[in-house]
Amino acid sequence: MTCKECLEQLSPYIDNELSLSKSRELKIHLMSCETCHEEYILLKTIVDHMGSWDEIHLPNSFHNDLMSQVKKESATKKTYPWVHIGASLAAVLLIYFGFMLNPYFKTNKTKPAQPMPAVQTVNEIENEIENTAKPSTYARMASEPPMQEAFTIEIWKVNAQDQNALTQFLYDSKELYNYSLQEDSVTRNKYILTFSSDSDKQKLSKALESISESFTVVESLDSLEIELIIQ
Amino acid sequence: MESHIEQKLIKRAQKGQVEAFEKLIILYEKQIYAICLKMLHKEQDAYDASQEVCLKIWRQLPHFKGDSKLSTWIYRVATNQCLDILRKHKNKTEVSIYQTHSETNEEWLIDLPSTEKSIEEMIGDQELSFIINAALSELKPEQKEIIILRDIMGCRYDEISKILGLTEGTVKSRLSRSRLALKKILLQNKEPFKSYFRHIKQKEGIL
Repeated sequence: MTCKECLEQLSPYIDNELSLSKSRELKIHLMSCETCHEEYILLKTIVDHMGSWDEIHLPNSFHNDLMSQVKKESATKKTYPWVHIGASLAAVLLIYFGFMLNPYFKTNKTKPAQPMPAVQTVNEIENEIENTAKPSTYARMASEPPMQEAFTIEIWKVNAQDQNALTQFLYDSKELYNYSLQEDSVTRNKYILTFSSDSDKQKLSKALESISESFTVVESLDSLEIELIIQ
Repeated sequence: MESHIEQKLIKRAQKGQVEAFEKLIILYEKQIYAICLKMLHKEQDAYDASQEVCLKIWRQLPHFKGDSKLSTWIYRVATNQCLDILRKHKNKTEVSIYQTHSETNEEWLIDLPSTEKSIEEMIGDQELSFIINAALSELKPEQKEIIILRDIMGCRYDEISKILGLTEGTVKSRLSRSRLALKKILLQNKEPFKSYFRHIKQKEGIL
């Protein structure tokens, strides 16, 4: 095992996440290499002293504060259930009559129509399609989510050196992955990429990760966002 | 998988039963607060953020489909909330490791004598944890997040991969990079960590 390999494996070794054979190999290397052993002790010291969540004390008022807020929200929901029912009914009726008056609903042409979020209306459209037995824009509408989702990648903290290379890469890959790029006017170093599909977003994020060791591709917890941080 | 009782509580809470939600959240509120405190560092910020996280869990629980563990989903909501806060405050002043101790008002940037005894006296385990946690605050949010999940919350790699929506390979490499970044911060003339480490090395017979 080389020192480089050893240093790469130290972190999973400390976490006991290496295979038995890898772990044995690393142990042998640590016994013979002073530099790597020193590195190991350092990392182990840091990990061991990170502390644990159960040592943290939850402030006394936390639970009561939370529950009084939850009860307040719950009470608001319960007090006026008729408002919700009434509003839903009104929405369904409005959308239904809106559709009846919409010329595209009647003529079933291929012109794009506004997406209609109500389930009832989508069912109506499906019935209509079955009757006419012709593929149309409505078929697409009925099977797709009513709102088009935005698939984005966010790129932050691009330093001047990497900016040119990155811009070139993004420019080159634009044809391949089908996205639009806009430079944020507030923070000049932030890019927002909007994709037309999730698979394109995934592919580009992988490509970004592979082009440089100094890039950290950070997938935000919101699965549609990815950050790229350049160290 | 959740215990049978937890699953029942989830179902009842999803129907809007406050009592069921209370029993459920009591199991997780301390962990939520711990994540927020370690991510945001200030108690008041952590308090507000974890209240918001718990309320989000209450509001969004009806949409929880049970295809991941409840804890995975909760950690995800908590780390997401903190990342949002940190992004909003991105351009504000960074916390420095060069701080005065909250209780003793003592400067950390001190010239330590190199004798073993005094180092041990001055830097006990607790103080060392304090220094490491102060350095943690200087990491990038996503580095901080993964270290907290692994080293403080004790999540396994496969759990972190589900929480953050990353492959296990990415978890492994990001965690490794994040720890190295933390080490770098600690070694950049950050006393008393340097002295402490020198002492550890002497004990281990490296020097």
